[in-house]
Amino acid sequence: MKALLVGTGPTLYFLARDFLEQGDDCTLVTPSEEEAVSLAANLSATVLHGDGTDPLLLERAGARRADVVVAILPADHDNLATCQVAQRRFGVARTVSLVNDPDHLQVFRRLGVTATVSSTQVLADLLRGQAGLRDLACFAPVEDGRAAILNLTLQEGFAAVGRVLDEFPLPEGASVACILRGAEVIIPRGRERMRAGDQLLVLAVRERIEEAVRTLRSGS
Amino acid sequence: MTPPVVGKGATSPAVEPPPAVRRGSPRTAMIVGCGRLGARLASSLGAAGSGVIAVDRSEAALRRLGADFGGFAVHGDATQPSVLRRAGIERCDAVLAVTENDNVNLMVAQVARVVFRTPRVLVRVFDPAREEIFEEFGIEAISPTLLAEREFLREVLQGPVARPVEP
Repeated sequence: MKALLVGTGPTLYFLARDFLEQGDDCTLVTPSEEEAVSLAANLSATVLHGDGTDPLLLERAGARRADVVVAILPADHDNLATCQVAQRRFGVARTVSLVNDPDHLQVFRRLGVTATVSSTQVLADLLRGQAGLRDLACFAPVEDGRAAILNLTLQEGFAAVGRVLDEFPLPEGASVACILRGAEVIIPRGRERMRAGDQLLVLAVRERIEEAVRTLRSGS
Repeated sequence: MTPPVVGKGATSPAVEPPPAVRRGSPRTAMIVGCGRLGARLASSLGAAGSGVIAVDRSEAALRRLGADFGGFAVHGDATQPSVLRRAGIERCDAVLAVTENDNVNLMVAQVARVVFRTPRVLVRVFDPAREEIFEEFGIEAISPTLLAEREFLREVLQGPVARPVEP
């Protein structure tokens, strides 16, 4: 697969590294000359420096032959422009845009972007719900943040500690997908007993994230 | 002068009536970007009888509107649909996206057309190469680059014959 990545920052670097490790052909476009030099030194990828929304530069970067274009520039309007130029002018089948304003998740799709990714939506919901982030090591939004996978470490005194999974009243729309216990990775079937120190990977729809975390912590 | 207009649905009328008597002048127009062009448009459309809502993310830019501006000045980032809604885009029958940034203009124009169904959307685009981006949405683009090019070419090709400068 040929991927064209347009953006800045660590996300661009790690995304490119991931594509390359999968054996994909990867070209990068970044607006900063300094960053372009550093990326070229650290990755075995073609790196161009310039305006990644400019049709002429995207053509030079090989947009015509790209299977996917990913836009992770800081501004939403630039990401939209990159995706639309790629799709409309160069016929790129799949375009993916990072989105800051959650309102743009749907809007960009209506404007032809294949997929939109927001890292703010789930975080905003969690903060608004005051679920607290203390025991949450990380979470990953799924489908634009309509669901999320979150990593919760069970502390001594949590309601879930000592309880058997399928007897524990997790809300509808939430389930424990995996238990990480020391070096062990347990895919639970329901009869497992949860212990303090366990890391739970919880899969939940957006509306149930807060309730799921609260229930695991303090009961209902 | 007829501006060169690109994009679907764009027409160039043979005779341009003066703005003040033009029958199609919008009841309410939103102007996004209050630079030199935006401020002039706001003032001219206001004088032509339109209600005007001017939006800019810089308060300093909004001060260009001057004391006699009779419309609304809204301080905010127009790339956010929520800001456009609060500014009153739903009651506008025309949106003019004239910031200094092509990508901002194109995005605001598309959001106005596709999300808010604004009947008439005009956008300034400096780079004529970007026109494919929006043509399918019925947005009218005016390119200062093409405009200037046309004027220069007209002067050079059809203007008075060049004469040597008298010593």
